[in-house]
Amino acid sequence: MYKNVVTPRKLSTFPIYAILILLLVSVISGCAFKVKLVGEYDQIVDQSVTDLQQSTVTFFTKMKAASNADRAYELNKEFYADANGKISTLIVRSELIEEGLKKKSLTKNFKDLQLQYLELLAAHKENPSARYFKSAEKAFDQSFRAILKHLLYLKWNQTQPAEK
Amino acid sequence: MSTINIEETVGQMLEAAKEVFDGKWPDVKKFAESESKKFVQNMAEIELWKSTGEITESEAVSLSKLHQRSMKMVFTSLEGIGLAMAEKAINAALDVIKKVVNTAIGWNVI
Repeated sequence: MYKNVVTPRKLSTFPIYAILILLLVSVISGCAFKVKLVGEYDQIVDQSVTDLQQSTVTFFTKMKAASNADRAYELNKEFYADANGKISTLIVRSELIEEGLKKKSLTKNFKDLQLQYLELLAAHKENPSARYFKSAEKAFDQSFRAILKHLLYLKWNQTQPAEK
Repeated sequence: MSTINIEETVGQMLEAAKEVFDGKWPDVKKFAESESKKFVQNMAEIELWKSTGEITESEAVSLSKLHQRSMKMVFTSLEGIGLAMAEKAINAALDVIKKVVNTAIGWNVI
């Protein structure tokens, strides 16, 4: 479905020549050769994402239960300033973690998450219904799940080196 | 003549790589499937609310954008997960050759 995802099938057909060349480079260079395709797992990023998720869940719970008057953007705009501050910090940190890598998946997702907050903010100014917030909450839940799943694999990749 | 059995070593390397993938790919596949299902359900819900007049057209457009971006993020994560798995698999394969070469030569050259 997604052409850039490396599947087991793709790896099994990975040209043996390419592996042998990598090994040759490793032997010639006389050093431990490690392939680097993704950024390191970062505990601070993980914790910051969890914090942002918690504050977002709290915000949606409040919006769904609030009266029309209490849902007004002006009364809740502090949430957006706070979320934007947190997401901006996450973008900077992930850019540093993924510096030099060809694919910067984590950074890309944080930038998309930031755009989602901006979309929510724009809609909030139009005083949307509780139903709107109910559905928007699901979208944010899916976004956070995607990011946390990614972080989980970065942690797995780092903390459990494959041994033979 | 080298004491390293190339075919056997390559086989071990690919086996090591395969092991890394075999344990995790079904989980990733399951994640992709469940998130895709959620996306379709959410879009169907928006359509229903729009048809019954429970949300405005601008709300429907905004929600559609939010859900599409979430789905895009799922695929971006899968891309990152795939790369993390590939990195681990390749490095597992390299660890195999490291042991074989160092043992054959008698020194830790890798």
